[in-house]
Amino acid sequence: MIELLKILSTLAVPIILLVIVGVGVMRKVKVYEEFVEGAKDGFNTAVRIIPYLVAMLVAIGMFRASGAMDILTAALSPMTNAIGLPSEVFPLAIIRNLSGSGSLGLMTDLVKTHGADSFIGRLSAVMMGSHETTFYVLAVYFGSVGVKKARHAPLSGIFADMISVIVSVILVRALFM
Amino acid sequence: MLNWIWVGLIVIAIAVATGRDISELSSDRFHNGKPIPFLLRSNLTQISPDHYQASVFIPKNSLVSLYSSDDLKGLKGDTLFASVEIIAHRKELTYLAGTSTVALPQDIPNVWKDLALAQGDEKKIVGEFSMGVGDTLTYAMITPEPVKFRILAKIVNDGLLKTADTAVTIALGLIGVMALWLGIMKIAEAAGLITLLARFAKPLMVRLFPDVPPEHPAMGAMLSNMAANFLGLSNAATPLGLKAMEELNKLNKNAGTATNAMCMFLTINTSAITLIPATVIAVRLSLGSKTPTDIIIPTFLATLVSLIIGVTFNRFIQRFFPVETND
Repeated sequence: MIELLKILSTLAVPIILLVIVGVGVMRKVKVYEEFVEGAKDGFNTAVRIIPYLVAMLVAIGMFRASGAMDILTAALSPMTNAIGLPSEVFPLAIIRNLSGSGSLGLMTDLVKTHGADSFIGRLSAVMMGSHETTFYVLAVYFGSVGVKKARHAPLSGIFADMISVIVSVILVRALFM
Repeated sequence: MLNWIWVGLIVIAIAVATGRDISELSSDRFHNGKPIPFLLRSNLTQISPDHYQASVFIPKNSLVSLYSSDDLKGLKGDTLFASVEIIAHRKELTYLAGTSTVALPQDIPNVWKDLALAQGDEKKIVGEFSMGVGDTLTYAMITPEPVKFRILAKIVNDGLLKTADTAVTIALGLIGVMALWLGIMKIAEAAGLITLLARFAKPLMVRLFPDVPPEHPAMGAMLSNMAANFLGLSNAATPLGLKAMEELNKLNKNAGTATNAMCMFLTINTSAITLIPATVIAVRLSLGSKTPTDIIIPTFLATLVSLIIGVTFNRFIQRFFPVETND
């Protein structure tokens, strides 16, 4: 199973590339020219998101450096206990919205401390696997097109995320306990 | 809404940092201005006229009388050994004073970790050194440089300045993959593959995005982003997602305000439906899991449920966030 997955993830990109370029050549597309034409936008898009990324990451960075997370964890622990989320894993539920590298570090730490096949180890793995750095996506995606009024997107993204935490807890409990 | 989240994060950060700093100052956590009584293991070694080196230690009992038990966590063993370098500015027969740097060992109390970090180097404590010769033991008194408002300083250094730098590094780091995948996307477009994909998923897409014309290029771009996410090609997902946003923005009548379709697209994105969470499996494998892949099914189901609920919720609340056209 692991071998198969490894092969699959290694082959995904070459296969996609081969199919796209192959079909392109068959349909007489000038693949090289088209590629260059598309790639031109890469630089502009990357540069355009800088101000939005700086704004969002700076706020998140200050929040994390202040230690507000510990206070939040303590304040919300009765609520998380109610849905069966261990208090050790709760910071991960927050961090995974804010920082990709931060949540990977936290998850690795949780798996190491509690054991890879323990309840907490599995739960943090599932939560990490089903995460998306919501605030990064919001900042970058909206930033790239200059959207400053995000309307209901943040609320809806955070809500979907809370649901995924709750479902993760229920599923890991049901399947592995 | 982003406005409020942004202000909230910053205000909470500053409030928490100020609160913690004031509480540390009022409880005198770092014993600012008070000496730590180290004992000398050996005589001072003179390296150059004013430069000395010594090996010092402090028994756990002395530390217990100085700091709270919480602050002492991290200390292992009954005695803490360290080496110290001194630049002397006053020398007498039985007395020496100067500026000292204590090189810390591995297992030190938490309070010293914070102290050292606040001073700028996690492995060193800088302070004033003074030594007299006693009856049986020789004390080396070291008064660390006082630490004040360290958390406010930290949110400025780590939170503000470093992350501003990181943000630019991330954005610039995207240029390469961005160019690569936008190029590939362009070939796929010209070859008609994106249209094919869009036609295939049309029944679903027109329901999710009723405001987007079925044949609009945005549909294909959004689909290729979702496909990349699904396959776990995270570095392809961002460029394709941004391409989709660009296409969606062409349909936007109020520049600067998100459309319903954009909000729906982002909700789908944040649900992060993934076939194989490769990174997580790799971490579990490396940390000795016997069945590292057994989280695939719960992960997939969790993302699927959150996707369905998220999409429904998004559709439900969009009416409460009307587009304000006049500002």
